[in-house]
Amino acid sequence: MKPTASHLVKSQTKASSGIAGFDNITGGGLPLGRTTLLVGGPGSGKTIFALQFLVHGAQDCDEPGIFVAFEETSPRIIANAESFGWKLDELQEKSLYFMDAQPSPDLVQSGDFDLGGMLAALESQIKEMGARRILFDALDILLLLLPDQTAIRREIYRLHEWLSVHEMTGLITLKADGDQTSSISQQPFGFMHFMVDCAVILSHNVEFGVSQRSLRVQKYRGSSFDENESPFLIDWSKGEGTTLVCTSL
Amino acid sequence: MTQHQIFDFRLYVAGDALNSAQALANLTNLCRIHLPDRHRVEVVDVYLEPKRALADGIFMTPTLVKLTPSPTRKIVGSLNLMHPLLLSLGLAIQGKRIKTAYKIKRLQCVVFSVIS
Repeated sequence: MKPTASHLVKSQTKASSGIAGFDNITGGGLPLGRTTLLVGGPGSGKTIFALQFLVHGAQDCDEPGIFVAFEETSPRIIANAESFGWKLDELQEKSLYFMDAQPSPDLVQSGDFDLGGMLAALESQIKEMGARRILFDALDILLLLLPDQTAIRREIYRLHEWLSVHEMTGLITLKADGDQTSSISQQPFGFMHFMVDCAVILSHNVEFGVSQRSLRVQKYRGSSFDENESPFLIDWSKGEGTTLVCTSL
Repeated sequence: MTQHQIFDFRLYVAGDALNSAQALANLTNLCRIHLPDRHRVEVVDVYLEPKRALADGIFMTPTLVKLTPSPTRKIVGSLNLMHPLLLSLGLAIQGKRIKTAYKIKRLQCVVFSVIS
């Protein structure tokens, strides 16, 4: 029996995302204390979705968040967020921390490295502000510096294990390379789809000149969810900053 | 870069992780060969001083920072690839001179053993 949206039971093992439609589809939001993978092409709304998740947590659910940025610098992210009416600098004092982890372009590399430093720095930050949510935006930028596949896999498992030990609700955004046809395991970080507890795919294509944004929950361990692709739109007009209004059918 | 310039290094390590231990060994080895008694090394363990890792923007361990002589350089990894390391520390040219010094020394030994 296909689980329709109405049968989903709201349970407290879920972290509300602040996006009504998405909470509806997943019966409450992202898995609490687990890791979610957010995959999408360029401009598919990954960072916006993730930022809204953090802002909602910080503002309304009393769950401070940390944004670990590997690609865009935090001043630029904060400036872009202004257009959604999110006053991030006010939040920044106590409940939303931005960590700039962009590798510098003239970085010299000699041999293998690991994410120990970042996790140690994050740990002290989490203790200090009691963070409950954490986002790794464009993690692939850092992972591609690792010398080989085994090092990449090792570091991802280290991160995943660290997230579960700290019972953080983790969100990792990842670039989907163009062709969805190649099977998941061929993609450079394909195995992450198998590792995480929840995977959400955002897509943005144009049909007959009309832009179509859609969101699909690919997997969600421990909960039923609406498996269909639901259209969503990014609503710039609302001053209050609700951005993704999922119209789940 | 004068011959007597003191090299100030700071090596960020993550506890007893394998990469970090290798980096420390490689760095000590490099200083002994290339910078005999003109180097200072400070080792910072990010697990013991996480605040410092955060403040100095250290996310990958091990990370070697060459403080002096300027410009400061950041090298990430277990430092087992000698060439990029020497190059970025500006020791590569010296590296060649030291290689020739080795050759001369070896030649002297050969000649010495032939004579005696």
